[in-house]
Amino acid sequence: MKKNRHLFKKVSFNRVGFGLTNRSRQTVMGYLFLFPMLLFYAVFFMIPILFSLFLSFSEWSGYDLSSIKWVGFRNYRQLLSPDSEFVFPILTNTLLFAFGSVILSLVFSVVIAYMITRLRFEGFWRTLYFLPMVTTVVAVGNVWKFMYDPNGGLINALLNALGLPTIAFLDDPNTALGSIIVVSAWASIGGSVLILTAGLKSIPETYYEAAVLEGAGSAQLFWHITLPLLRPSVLFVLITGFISGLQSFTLILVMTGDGGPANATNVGGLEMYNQAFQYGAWGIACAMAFILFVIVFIATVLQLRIFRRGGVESY
Amino acid sequence: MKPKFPWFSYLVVIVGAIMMVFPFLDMFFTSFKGADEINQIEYKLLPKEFKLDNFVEAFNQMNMGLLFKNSIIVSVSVTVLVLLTSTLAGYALTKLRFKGRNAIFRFTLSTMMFPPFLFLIPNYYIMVHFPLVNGNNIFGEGGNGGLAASILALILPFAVSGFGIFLMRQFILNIPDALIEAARIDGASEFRIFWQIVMPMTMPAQATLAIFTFISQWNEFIWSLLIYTVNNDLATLPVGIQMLQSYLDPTLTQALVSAALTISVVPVFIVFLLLQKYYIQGMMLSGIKE
Amino acid sequence: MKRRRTKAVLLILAVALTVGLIGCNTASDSSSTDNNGVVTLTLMTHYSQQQEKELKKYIDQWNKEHPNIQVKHKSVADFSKLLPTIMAQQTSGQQADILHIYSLWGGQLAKSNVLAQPPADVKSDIEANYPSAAIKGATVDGKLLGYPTEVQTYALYYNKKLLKDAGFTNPPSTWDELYQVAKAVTKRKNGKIVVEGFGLKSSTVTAGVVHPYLSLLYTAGGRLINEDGTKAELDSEAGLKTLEFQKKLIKEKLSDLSIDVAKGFPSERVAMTINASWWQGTLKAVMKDNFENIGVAPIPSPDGKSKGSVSYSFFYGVNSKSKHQEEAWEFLKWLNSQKQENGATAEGNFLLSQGIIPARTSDIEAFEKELSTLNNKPFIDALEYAVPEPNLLQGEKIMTLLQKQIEAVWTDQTRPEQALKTATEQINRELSQ
Repeated sequence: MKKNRHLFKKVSFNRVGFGLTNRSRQTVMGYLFLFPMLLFYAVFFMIPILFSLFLSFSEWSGYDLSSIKWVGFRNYRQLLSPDSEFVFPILTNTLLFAFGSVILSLVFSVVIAYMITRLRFEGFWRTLYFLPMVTTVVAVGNVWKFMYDPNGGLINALLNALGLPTIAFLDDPNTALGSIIVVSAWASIGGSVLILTAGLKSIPETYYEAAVLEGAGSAQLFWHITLPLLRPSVLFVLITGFISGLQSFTLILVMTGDGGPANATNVGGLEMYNQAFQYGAWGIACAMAFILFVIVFIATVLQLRIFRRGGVESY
Repeated sequence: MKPKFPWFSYLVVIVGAIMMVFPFLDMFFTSFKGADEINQIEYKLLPKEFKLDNFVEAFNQMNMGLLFKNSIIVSVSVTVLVLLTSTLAGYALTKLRFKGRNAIFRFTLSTMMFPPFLFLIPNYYIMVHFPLVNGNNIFGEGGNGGLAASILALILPFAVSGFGIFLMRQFILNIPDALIEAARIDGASEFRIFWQIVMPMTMPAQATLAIFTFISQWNEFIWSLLIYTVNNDLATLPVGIQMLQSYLDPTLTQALVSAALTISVVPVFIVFLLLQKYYIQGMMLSGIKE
Repeated sequence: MKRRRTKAVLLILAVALTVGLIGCNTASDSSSTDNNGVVTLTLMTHYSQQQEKELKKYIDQWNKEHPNIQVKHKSVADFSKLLPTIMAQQTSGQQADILHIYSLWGGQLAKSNVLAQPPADVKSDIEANYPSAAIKGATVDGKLLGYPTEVQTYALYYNKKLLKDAGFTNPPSTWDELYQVAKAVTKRKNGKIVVEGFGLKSSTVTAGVVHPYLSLLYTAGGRLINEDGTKAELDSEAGLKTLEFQKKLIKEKLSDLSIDVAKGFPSERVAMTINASWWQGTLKAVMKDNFENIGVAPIPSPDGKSKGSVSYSFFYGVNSKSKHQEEAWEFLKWLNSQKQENGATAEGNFLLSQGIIPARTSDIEAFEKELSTLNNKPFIDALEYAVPEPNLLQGEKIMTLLQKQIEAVWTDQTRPEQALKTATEQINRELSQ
């Protein structure tokens, strides 16, 4: 401890002595270190965003730059009009999907992460739960699609063996979105368990010991010590999961390529992809993307507010 | 805190683990089934015989060697690039003081909120019309696919990751300033500080970032599909497997795809199981602390 | 310390060198002229596996006879990716010289100037030797864009064995008979469907939902859009009747939407469905001997007398960006108009081998014997009354809009009247832009 304080004093003396040189040196180095990243963002981010923004105000069939036609706000007006398919069901599906898969995954992850810490061979169990994350989303989507098949699929075979009726998971608009939410949650439990475990391990044993001394049972330990102290990790998983959930669509594309029966599984990401690559309506697709961006932005800001109150350092 | 014998926890965890693993078992066994077994009404887990026909056919239909090669090259390259750029940026944004530092960080965060779709076609154009590559002149005209025809097209657009920069920044914040300042006083250049202090100290976080980046790139499908249309030799594993869906005999598609998936998943499983100790330790140490 | 720095520098140099080398790897040219003046053309279609093998026979024949113009075939097996692939390649300079186009995409492709106009002699050849439905399919905005190849019509496929076992020797010719047959043939075991009477959805793509519906609609005298393609005309008595008939089949569980007909019909678990003529080729390859059990009949109509069917077509076009358009048209002329030994063209021979009825009039005549098989007759007859799919700019979008409404009715999400109204509104909105 003493040594560090001594070092600090030395540093500040140096700074007083060589003030400007030190600061400008840091500036130069700073931008030098940031150069690759800034160059990347200039080329692969700024240009695409500006171009796409421009496209969202035009009509274009794609690939032939000379045929772009400016149409002003027409695309946005069409998408946001009350009877447009975009707001309902596409945006609602998107929100439902993101929210549903994150919450489902989180609940299970918290429970599983907690329970694993009470077992032997923790590493082994955690690896098993991490396996779905290691395989590609194409694999996950296809495997579950086969399992959901009402004729010859694993899940319905189990249901029938238990005397329950067959459910046409992906073909029934009432169950299609839910079925995919389950798959999405299943695939991400592993990652969440790992992050939450790190959070769990950082809770000091002394808290538990003190509570046990006062007569607390395991359930109470979980509710009153573990959960509250796990809040930062939980919120991290919640926010990142929600953001990626709002934009994801590859799984849905693999399982129900065209948005499911009667658009039951159509989400923003999928619809904009189809608009561009199937119908050649790039203007509409880009407008959708920017509307989605606004939603992601608002959702993130909201959650960051809650995040701050949860005691994590500010950004 | 480990209780005496947590029956309930074991039960829950084991049941959950079965649910995690069972789909893969189903996939594995389906790979051996014939068309008649798949299309029958009664579901049977195990196949009648363990025929290898589907595997052979899958090999014939997909160029497995090429798919694996491409996926590995791309995923490894992107991971290395992301580690490098993220740590560089993370260091600059925390330990170096200069104007605009916070603004740049907030900008980085905001880049993660744009739907990836917006970058597809513009980046495609940029790749195709990259100046002075593959026959393009200085304006990027006239060539034969530009950069989009080389494997770099699968790598470059992912070389920098906002998530990576965010993660490394959070971790590097925990490195005591005193350490850095001491090194500066001793006359070390920023580069040396970076290579000899920061890089080693951030190993756990880098392990975490490496895993997430590798997996996310291994999974990448939409951009890879687009580039595949330019150059069929650039197919990655997800693209190759999805192509199998259009196999002309629909009664066999399920078994064929299962066989292909088994081939593509088993090696990754094995590698992961072997390295799991190292990975999980790395992730734990780099955990999101308060 | 110095050693470490040198190591780092060397590492960076090595990486840069590798990256540079990888980057310099060029992709193969899609079309080129090499030093000997040999022109290589790329032909891109969705034909794959055994289809591709058959087509290659004729390509190899041309290559042998024409050493200066070599043709390479590129297959895009996933049909849903063919259009995006064509569009993506237009940008990257990798475009194929000859494209096999589904006419529904005609509008989109014309808007992006993808296709070149044929030379005058090709035009007159086409206009003289193809039926009007075929020519219409290859015409966009009044411009003929290439050689029509497949002209698909829809008919009723049925399993003779399943029908016979239920006591029917003849296929149904009215909607009521269709209902009766389906009722007798559908079998369940433990509540699970063992044999489906009638497959409403012939495949999992948009056309699999829309084309069978439109076929039934047309037998009832309904229309999709008006003559000039400016307004939808779905909201009609006929439209309603068709949807309600389909709903009845679902309600009484004679149709089960979760069954994949593409798998179920060849596995003899689906008794009847409506599909296009090309399917015969696939069924034959998959079912082998059991293919004898398959029969084809005209689509049943409400009264048994009126007829209706859908037709769609493909055509070969030349890429406007191709550097060898003249040679490309040379090849197409040979493929589509030059008679082989059996009196039919190479394309005609290829199509027949796939169970597809050729478009060219002389081919239909040359194959009179083969085409007069019982299964082919309904498809050929349908050529006269089938309504062609509209090849407008918004073609794909309109089909998808209709598909979603049909599915909504099937799954009880909306009532048939509402679905037709919504579809009409949405389609009109697309058409008015």
